[in-house]
Amino acid sequence: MSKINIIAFVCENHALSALRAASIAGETLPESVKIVKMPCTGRLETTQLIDTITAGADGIIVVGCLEDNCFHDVGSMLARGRVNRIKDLFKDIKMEPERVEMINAASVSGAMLMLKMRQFEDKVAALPALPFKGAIK
Amino acid sequence: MNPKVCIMLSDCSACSGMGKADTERIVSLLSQESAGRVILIKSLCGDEARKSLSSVAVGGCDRAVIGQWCPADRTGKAPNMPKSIDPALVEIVDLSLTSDKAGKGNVERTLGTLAQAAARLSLAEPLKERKIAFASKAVAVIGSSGRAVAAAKLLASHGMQTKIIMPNSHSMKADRIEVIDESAVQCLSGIPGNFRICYTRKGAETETDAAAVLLVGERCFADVKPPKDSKIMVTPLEQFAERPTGKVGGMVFVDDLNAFNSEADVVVPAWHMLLEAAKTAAKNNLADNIAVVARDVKAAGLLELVWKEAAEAGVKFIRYDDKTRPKIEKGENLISVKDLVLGETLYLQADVLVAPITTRPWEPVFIEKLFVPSDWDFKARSRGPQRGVDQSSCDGVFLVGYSNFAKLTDEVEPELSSTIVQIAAMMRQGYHIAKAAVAEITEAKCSGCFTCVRTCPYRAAEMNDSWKAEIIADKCQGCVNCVAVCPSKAIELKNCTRPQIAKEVAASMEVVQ
Repeated sequence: MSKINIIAFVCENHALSALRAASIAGETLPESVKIVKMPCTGRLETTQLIDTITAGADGIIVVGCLEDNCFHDVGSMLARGRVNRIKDLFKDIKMEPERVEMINAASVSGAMLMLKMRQFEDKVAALPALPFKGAIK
Repeated sequence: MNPKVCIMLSDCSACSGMGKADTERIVSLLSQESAGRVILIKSLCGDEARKSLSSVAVGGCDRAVIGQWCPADRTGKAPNMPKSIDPALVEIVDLSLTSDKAGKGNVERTLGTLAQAAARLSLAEPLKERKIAFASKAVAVIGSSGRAVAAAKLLASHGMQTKIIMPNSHSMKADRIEVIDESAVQCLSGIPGNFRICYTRKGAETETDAAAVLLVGERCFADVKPPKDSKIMVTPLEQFAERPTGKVGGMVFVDDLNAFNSEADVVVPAWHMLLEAAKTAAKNNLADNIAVVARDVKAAGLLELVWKEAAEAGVKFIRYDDKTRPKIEKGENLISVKDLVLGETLYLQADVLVAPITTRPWEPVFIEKLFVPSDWDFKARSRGPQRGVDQSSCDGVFLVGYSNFAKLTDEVEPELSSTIVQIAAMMRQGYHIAKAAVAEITEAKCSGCFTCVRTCPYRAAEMNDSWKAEIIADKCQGCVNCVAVCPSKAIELKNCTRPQIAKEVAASMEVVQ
């Protein structure tokens, strides 16, 4: 079992069908990635992203639809704004902004999604461990 | 009373790649962790598990997680589900994603994934889908082209009450077809089975209702109709010859102002018709001066002979750049165009102005007024090579694109048939299934800030008389965007609540530690 812990918030429309396509093609998720399904990535709040980090996650991936083809029109755009806000916040408190990332996936781009997830895992694994990990309950 | 979650896992080693010992370890670990609240039923396959869902109640459970290994069996929740089970309380988890590269299942990850799903499900509430019977029995066709007429006739021949909303140029009589003689459609709103179409008729706003709507082309949404005494003629070019005009001083043909340069496949056939019409007008001596205003595109070289013939017949050509498109002054027949050769702006006074059916000479304001459920991507669909026969993914509103060029009714019918069949199936069903999970507002918390009203992509949020937001449950698609934007956290959607997500995240962490 890997030491790091990555939560992927996946929208259950285009992004989830991308994952399905990838699994049919024989791809597997990177070891540290756990999937949390969302009706739409627009559901994610900034506080939820922070809570996920304080709960012990080392990195967060938000997987939404392509921005001009979002299933619910605005969701992935809103999510990107929130992810960018969290990145700014992390910069301010001297945390690595690379710990949060937004990926846009079409339902056919399963292989691309897996590749980006693997790259993200490598990136996060190279970062120093969070000092407060496991300390906040 | 704590709800009991039943976890069903296949012990089939062919799909999971795990030995019997591993599966049994998962079983024992899961039962330990859940302290007796998780019951595990072994079954052969995901499909088998779904069939045996009715046995869930035997163990005292009311909800189930099904772990699926088989790559062939990934159809989601739809088939083989017993009707007595609420689909909101059954979660099917795809486990094959968590196996390693050789296809062998991993004990910890399987455990984590199942525990995660069980955590979310333990807080879920049962939901029921609602059936809404159609209030209207009619199908509305909005459009004025021959394609719209063909669609209306086909619909009527399938026994459906049809309303066709179109400008005054046609007079058609047929059984079951009601012709609404007006084209300026202002808005389209509502849910499948109960759409409301409003339009102006003789200056007054009128509305009609329809169960399904068929949109043909784009011209149907022209904002302003030219007054009857005006000689401005925005017409399908194929009907140009049928319209008697009498001899006039100046006649100007304008090409499709809405098309882009890149759309050569759309533009060239339209130009062909434009040139043919201009040529016919010149040969029949319909006007003293005949001018064609067309853009400077290389693809026009394909029609060199036609250009030449038209020029020999006495047609004058004025070319414009794609960046400086000609303007048609509102309500007047005055066209201003920047000539490329002279480098000056020319003003053409036309007694008769002829434009293709796709042209909207008067800047439309309808896009702001029009609301079509957001699955229909107006911008993407109305331009580009997709302009063929097209169907909307949105419930109840069907799109049929442009013909691209003139077609006979016989040619159009096969193209329409698949859409017509879909409409017939929808009308036969007679009810619309509203989404089970819809957002709900706690009115006491609502501060009336309009944020959800602005955000909702389906326009399901509205303000009520006491200035509190209200979600129209029939329109809501459960996208949850309003939940996240609400500053006072007054909106909540069942089965996607904050505690649920937090619990699911926490469950996935526990396994790691």
